[in-house]
Amino acid sequence: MALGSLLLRAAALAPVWPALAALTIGGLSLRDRRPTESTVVAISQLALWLSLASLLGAAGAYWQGDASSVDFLIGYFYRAGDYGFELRFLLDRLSLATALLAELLLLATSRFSAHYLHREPGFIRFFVLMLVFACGILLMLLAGSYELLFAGWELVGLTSVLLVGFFQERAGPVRASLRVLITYRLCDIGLLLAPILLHASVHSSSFVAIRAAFADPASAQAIPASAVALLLAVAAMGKSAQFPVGGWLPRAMEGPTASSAVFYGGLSVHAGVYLLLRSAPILDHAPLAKALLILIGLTTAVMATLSGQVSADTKSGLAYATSAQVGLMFVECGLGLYPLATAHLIAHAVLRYYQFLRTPSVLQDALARRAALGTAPAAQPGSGWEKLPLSMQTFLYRLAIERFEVEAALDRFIARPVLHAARWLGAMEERIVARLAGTRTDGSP
Amino acid sequence: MITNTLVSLSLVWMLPLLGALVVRSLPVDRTSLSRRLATVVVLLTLVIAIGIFLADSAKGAFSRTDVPSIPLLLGLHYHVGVDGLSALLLPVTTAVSLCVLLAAQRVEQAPRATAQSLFALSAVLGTLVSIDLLLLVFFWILSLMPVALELGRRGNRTARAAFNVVLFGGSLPLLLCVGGLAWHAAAQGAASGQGPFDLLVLAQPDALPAGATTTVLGCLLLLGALVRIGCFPAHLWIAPLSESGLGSLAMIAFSTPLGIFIIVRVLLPVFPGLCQQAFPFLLPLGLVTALYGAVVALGQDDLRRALGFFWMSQQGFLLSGLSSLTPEGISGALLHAIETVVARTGLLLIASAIAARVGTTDVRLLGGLAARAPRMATGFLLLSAAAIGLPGTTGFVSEDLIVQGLLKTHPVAATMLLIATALNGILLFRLFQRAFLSAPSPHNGALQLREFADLLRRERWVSVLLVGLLLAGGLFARPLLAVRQSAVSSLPTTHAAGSPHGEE
Repeated sequence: MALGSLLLRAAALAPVWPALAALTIGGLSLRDRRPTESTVVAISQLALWLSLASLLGAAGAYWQGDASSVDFLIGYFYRAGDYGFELRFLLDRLSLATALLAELLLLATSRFSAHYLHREPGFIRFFVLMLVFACGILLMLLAGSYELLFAGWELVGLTSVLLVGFFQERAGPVRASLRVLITYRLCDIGLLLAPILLHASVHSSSFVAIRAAFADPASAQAIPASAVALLLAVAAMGKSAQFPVGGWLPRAMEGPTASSAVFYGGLSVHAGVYLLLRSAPILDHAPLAKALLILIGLTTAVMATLSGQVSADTKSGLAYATSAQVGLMFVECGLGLYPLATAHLIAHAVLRYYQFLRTPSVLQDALARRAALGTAPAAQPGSGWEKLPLSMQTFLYRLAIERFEVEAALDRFIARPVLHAARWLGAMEERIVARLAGTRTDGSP
Repeated sequence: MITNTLVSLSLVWMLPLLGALVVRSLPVDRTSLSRRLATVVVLLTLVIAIGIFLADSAKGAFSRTDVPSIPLLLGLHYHVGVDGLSALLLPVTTAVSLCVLLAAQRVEQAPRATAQSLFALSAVLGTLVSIDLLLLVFFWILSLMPVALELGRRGNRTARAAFNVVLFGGSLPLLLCVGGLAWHAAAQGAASGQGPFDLLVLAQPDALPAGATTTVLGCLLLLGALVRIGCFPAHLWIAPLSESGLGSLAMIAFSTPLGIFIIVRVLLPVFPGLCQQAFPFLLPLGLVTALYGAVVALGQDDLRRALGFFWMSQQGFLLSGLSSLTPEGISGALLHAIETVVARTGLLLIASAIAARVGTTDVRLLGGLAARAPRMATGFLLLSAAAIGLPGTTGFVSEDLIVQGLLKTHPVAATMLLIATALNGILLFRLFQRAFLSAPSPHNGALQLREFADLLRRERWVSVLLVGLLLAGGLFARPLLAVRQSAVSSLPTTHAAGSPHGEE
């Protein structure tokens, strides 16, 4: 095999190194003496550098070649009947640019966290989770089919949940992590169903095959594009914190700053947009889904901007701002402006990542600014709010601070009835068994 | 070679039985000796089981390696064999039982408890190697006896009453079916060398006349299997058993999904016509079981009881996969059957460990255990992740296959299964969160959480082994599926023949 082809295939190794490093650190922690912080950092950094090197090799070979996208199959994960899980990777400008961005942010995070989390009880846990996340996000970005993308997507979701609940001795972060998990699990059903529908019509879920199928008008007819696009949109909404399932993002700020930066400033929150960009051929045949994306994106942008204006802490403010910007990216995808959305994604990820990392020093920054200016900067005047009547202002303020009651409604109309039914059925069962046994229950449900 | 197979297939169930007899005869206080003896016996059994698996796999295709049928008395013939279906189950069952014995709490290590566990293991392994229906039913009932006796001895009336559902509901239909077959054989009057209950004979196309009698016999068999699977509404026994504190004995007695096994071993080959008719009705049953278990589990406050309903929900997955009658669905269900046993056993072992330390598994009284026992928390989390099918674990492969098998014909059903998966994920994480994270509960005045000990070394290694098994199965799923390939493709599925990847 030619050197160029081998180098291209090295991209498949990029997610493997972090996974190996996570397993190594996990294995070392099983011993009675845990590994030291410097060992953990060294292993993580080594893995991320190796991963970057693999990716750079592939990127170099890609630029040397003249194909606009390179799609290759490493093999099958498993097969049964006429279904096989393909280990297929796709290298094009989108995947390479985003994957390189991910590598850089991850390297910066591992460097930052080595000091930031020094002597934190969960130091090893943080690094293991970050490495699993690295594996997941690279797998997701480099995947050539929906199945592989989903595998990475799930790993990203799980690590995200666990890092939100990183400070596990406090109730707040733990509750927030459960909310994140519930949102992710329910929305991911969309991403599970969509490839299966595609399998039924295109007999493949690889991005190249789907693009080809849509290029041919005869075969494009047979694909339920609207259904697939709507399912994918549901998955993207959950991961990218869009209305009405975006309530988890401000709460997710309970995690350590380093992970907030890389997840909710940089990579994880943009995963939904990446999914939409990857699904561009499907979206182009699904006007209904596109309209929905525009609607959702605009709603989120307006609501998150309002809520962000009334939030009292820096990290929440940034979270709302992120949500609003990602909403705009949804609108761009809905309008079919994919190159703009890609550029927006990368620029926003870098800026927001930096802002998040800077939040712990925000007071210091303010003091430094004041010292340099010699005076406190005047408070920014409200952007024209005072023109509204006072009752309207109060109404909007209340709505914004209550996050438009979206979460309360979801809790009231979905979560609580389900739990209530569960308790009731459980109590019923106990009564039936007690009757079988001829004993009485103590009456407690 | 044939005698070798006969000896090894007989030893694999006789060895634990002998072990049980020896251990039972030990004095009550020889706890550590009984544990060591049991470990050695199960290790030897594991070696034999792996040997059988390897010998079978060396032949390439996992076809039946049959040994002659030996007539014992009346209609009972001793006929054992192994194929792709059971070759993998033998070592997995033995390995899971070994893990359970190693991690068993001290109160469960007394000679009597150990002997019961060995006896149950022997019966389960005997069921797996039986090629004679009467023998199979005999072992099947034996495997339930230790649990029934122990529940009766402990005077746990509720759990005993609930267990009667599976003890009688799972056994009587099978006995009736065997009786019907005997009556049929007597009416035929043909005494062939194989005996009237030989599954190889029964599986031949004209062994049983097509008619109402055959249908009734098949339905009886199906009924017994469904009760043992724990299908809604015959699931009543699962949660009380899981909650009963029977720990290792219950885990070993249910270390193989025998309900699914008997469907694939007996029902599909012997009553193919009935299967084609009845299986579409199993799909709603499976869906209801999966969703009902997932929803009810969410409302439970007891860790072990909630895991019981989770167990039920997983059985619904198996049933749905089987009912699709597609190669993907059946392969997925068979793989899921193994996966769910391994993950469930690991989770229940951790729950037993918690119960042994603080005397309760009520999550309202727990909380904050991760600070005291980080390794236990990690183990629980990893096992949960595997149980709900995180990519890279066996559950991911099996659930994906089940859904793929269903989606071709029943997209709505596939969606409902995915909802059940999502609920299961929420359940396990919520349990993890309530038991292990956040601050210790303010209601646990009497509990000594301060001195809560992390996993002991043996418990730790068992958890690692179980997680490792699930990971290995997920990362190297191809050989695992290939083992069952011949068994699956010989079953009467809807479109097994035309598959392009069928022959690898």
